[in-house]
Amino acid sequence: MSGYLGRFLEIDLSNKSFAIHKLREDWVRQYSIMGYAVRILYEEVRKKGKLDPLGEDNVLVIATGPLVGTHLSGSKTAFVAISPLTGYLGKSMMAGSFGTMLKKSGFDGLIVRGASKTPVYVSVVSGKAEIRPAGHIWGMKTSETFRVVREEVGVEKAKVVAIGPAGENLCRYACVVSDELRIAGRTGMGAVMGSKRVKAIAVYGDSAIPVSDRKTLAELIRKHGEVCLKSSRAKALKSYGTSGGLVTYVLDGNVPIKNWTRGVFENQDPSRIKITGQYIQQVYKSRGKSCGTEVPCVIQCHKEVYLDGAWVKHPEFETLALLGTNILVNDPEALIAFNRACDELGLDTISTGAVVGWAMECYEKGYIKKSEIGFELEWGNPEAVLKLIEMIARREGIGDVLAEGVARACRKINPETCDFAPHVKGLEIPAHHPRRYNTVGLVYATSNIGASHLQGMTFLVERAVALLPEYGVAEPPRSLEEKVRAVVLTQNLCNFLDSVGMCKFPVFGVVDFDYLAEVYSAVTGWRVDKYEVARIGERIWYLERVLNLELGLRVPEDTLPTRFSREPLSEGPVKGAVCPTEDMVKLFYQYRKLDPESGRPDPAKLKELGLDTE
Amino acid sequence: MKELPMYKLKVRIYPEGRVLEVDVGGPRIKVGDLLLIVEGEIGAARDYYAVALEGRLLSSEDVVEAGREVVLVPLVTGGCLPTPATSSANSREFL
Ligand code: SF4
Repeated sequence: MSGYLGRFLEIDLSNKSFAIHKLREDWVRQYSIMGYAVRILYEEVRKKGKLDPLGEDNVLVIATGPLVGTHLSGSKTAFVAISPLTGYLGKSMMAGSFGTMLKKSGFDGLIVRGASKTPVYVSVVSGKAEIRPAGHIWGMKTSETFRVVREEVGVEKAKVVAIGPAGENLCRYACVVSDELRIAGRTGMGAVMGSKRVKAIAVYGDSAIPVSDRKTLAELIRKHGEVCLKSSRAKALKSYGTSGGLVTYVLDGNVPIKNWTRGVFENQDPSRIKITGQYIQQVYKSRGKSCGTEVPCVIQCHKEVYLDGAWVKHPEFETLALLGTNILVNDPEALIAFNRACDELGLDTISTGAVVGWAMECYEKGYIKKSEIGFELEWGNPEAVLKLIEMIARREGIGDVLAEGVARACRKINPETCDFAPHVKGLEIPAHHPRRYNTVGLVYATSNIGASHLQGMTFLVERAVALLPEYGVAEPPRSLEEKVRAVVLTQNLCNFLDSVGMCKFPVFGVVDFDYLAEVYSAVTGWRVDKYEVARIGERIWYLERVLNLELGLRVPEDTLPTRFSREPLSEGPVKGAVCPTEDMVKLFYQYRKLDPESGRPDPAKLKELGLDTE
Repeated sequence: MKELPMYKLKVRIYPEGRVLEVDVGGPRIKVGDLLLIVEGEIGAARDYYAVALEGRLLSSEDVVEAGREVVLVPLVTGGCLPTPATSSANSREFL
């Protein structure tokens, strides 16, 4: 099997033992790697029934696809487990070098089972796997953890991922942070690591990464570089990173403002908005780089700013929106501080921003009192936000309830507040706006991990940025039927990209999927075309769906908060618009051939895809 | 000889703040055509920028009247908006 090393390292923390899991070629062909990880989880659930996400039985699979480490721009590693936020599938993709180094250490992935009684970290370095004590680093912030672990494993080039105090304290939206500050942010994978008492994982090796046809691949990579340099989308990402999108999206009505209740930010005047990538990069010295030392990306979308004598990470668009426009903070240094605090403590900035926004609305409406918080929690107060972030990560005071995520916290605070708790299936809603882009609403409502914008990037299709003429989408979708089709197609394509380890930025609006099929064929030696590419992604979507049904997913959960469908905004670019969620979901069910009562896929559809899950 | 009227539009480039005065050749112009003129003036590809008026992005089909001031913002996510927000929402053609 070219492109794949053919094996996962299985780590049993309860018995402190290791085993080699040889990859099943039929599953690799069907799903590639992220999908393979989901299949492992599915088999586990079928064997054991519903798993407690924070219990010993949950399985964390960290897997990296065949394109990772091949010198193509874009390298992603999947973290897959049952999510402590949703109780359903959890997965999150991490950029940067961790995946490449994992492969160089000789494995396509790690399967982490059981739980240790005491804190540990895992080291897979130069052909030797160890479970080491971590009592001395438990409680540390992430940057300190990276330093100590790298020192202890004794290899400067080792790549490390870790959790912060939030993961240790089982905050349900704790993330996993890499030493390059790339994040597996969504669905609480940091809490899963915390529940297993794994503080960090270090990997290093120098194994060769097998590629079937190096010559063709080299030519394809050269072409990709050329296309990236010419593409306006890639150029803009290179200039400002994702943070450069904030100003456009404010003017487009495609951001949350005041927990999705307002349509105007800073009078919609770009010169007044101080948290845009352009503003920050004008005022502070900045630089761009690739997301990892082992990722030779032409776009280099990652930005850093020079502040107080050091280079620090520039917040991404989602962070600027959720912890900026969403809570009415317009102060760049506050945003940099929030971002830094979340990375150090190990908190997902999207969920954190959504939770803080909801808590501020609760405070404004009198559901939470100053006496319960210990300070004022009015909109736009950066000091209060910083305090709250720390309290959430440490589960102190009201932070203990907020660490549960909005879906649980609203039931504890007052069920009335659930009406404005922004989540789908328990996962907090990211920045793209369902009233602006209806397809985004449908992506959130039907994604198998809850509200995620990366499970179907239709906002790019609706904007005509990433049309997919190779699949018959030559124009932005206008009718509901076209929109639903675009959602289904991009869900499938995003799954394929995640599964092979490819970043979405150098793809959508840059190259087409005929190109991706050629790349995948050159790496693996398996001839695939664009239709098979989409089919791999489609198969994964159904596998995920079937897994969620096993875990108890119900039809009414495929929806959006009613705020988006029944409460139009009275101002701004999306004034008067709502998302026709019900109509779209109904059509989606027809399109995906899901039973309207049970939500189950038509067995004939599963058979057609070769899914042997029934 | 009768002088032809000049139809000027102010185009403020974000983030620099530089203002271009462009002759749009008539009392109003489509955004798509304006982006073509701007491409000629500053050399940036037309799909690099979007045009906003009064705090709201315009679609390439929208029309701007001469005498107004628009803002040019770089489209990090690329491309010119095909549809205004309120018309894309609530579309029920299919049902
Ligand atoms: S586009 Fe950005 S995230 Fe993607 S591979 Fe390149 S540098 Fe990494």
